[in-house]
Amino acid sequence: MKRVAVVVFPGSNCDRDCIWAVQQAGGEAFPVWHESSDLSGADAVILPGGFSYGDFLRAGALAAHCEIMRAVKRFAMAGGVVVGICNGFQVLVESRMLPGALLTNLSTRFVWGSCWVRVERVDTAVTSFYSEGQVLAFDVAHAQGRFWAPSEEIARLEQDGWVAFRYCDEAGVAGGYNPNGSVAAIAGIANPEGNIVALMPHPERSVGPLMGSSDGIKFFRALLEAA
Amino acid sequence: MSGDAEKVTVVVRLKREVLDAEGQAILKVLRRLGYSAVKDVRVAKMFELVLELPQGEAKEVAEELASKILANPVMHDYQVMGGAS
Repeated sequence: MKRVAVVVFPGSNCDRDCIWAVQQAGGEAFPVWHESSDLSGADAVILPGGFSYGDFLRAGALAAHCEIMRAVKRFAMAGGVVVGICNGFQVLVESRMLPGALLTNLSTRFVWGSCWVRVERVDTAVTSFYSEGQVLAFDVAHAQGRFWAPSEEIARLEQDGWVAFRYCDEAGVAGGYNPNGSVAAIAGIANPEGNIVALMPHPERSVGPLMGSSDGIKFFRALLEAA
Repeated sequence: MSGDAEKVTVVVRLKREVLDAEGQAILKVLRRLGYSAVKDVRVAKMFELVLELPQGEAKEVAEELASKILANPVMHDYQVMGGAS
């Protein structure tokens, strides 16, 4: 059975949900403390949501420099699957493992509730079981989720296919509902190889009917398949 | 032999082209309070660093701290002030 390491930073709070979601998808998952120097032979890594280091300095900025991130970086550079969710996305951009930055929501408010994202790429570690253009119902819960990069960088990201998920409305119209004002309604990105993926919404909160949506189950099944 | 403790200040600002949502929120409140003269507000962060280093090294180290950790070069400009150059 594939084993997924879920990194726990001080202040992470979605680690247990991620572990549970991986189990729902048929895999094994275990927590790895941020001070660890290795990933205990994990087949894939998840950086979960939460408020690592209290979002001090910038969300994800301090976590990006902690011990376990050296191992995570090595793992990703060697082609290992690394998935960042919410705060995990923030950690990945602050670590420069993914481009861009995540700024304060345009509304300046912490936004929470349902959103829809459109799958823009099916060749990533977490989207292979979806179809291109498929609309997924996920939850958002963040104050700094506005994806941003200088306009030339955004043009490059779009052209080179880095956009993995885009906020949309229920009908799948891109930008129809953009919870945080992110540029081009970008909700999640992935490197061209597809092994480093991150998004602001929480797929782990959509893995069963009691959660209001099961759209996230395929996210974790794909992750286990790619691991 | 290390030098005396030196105070270096680092100011981190959002790049001009970034929409400062927090600054805009503050602007709205200032105008609602009647200060129509305020046309724009942008929020910056200031770090006060106390460095104990051999003479002349403080500014360079502060630059490194600024560019690697205190500021995020994707969205920030920064300025280092103080420290012997």
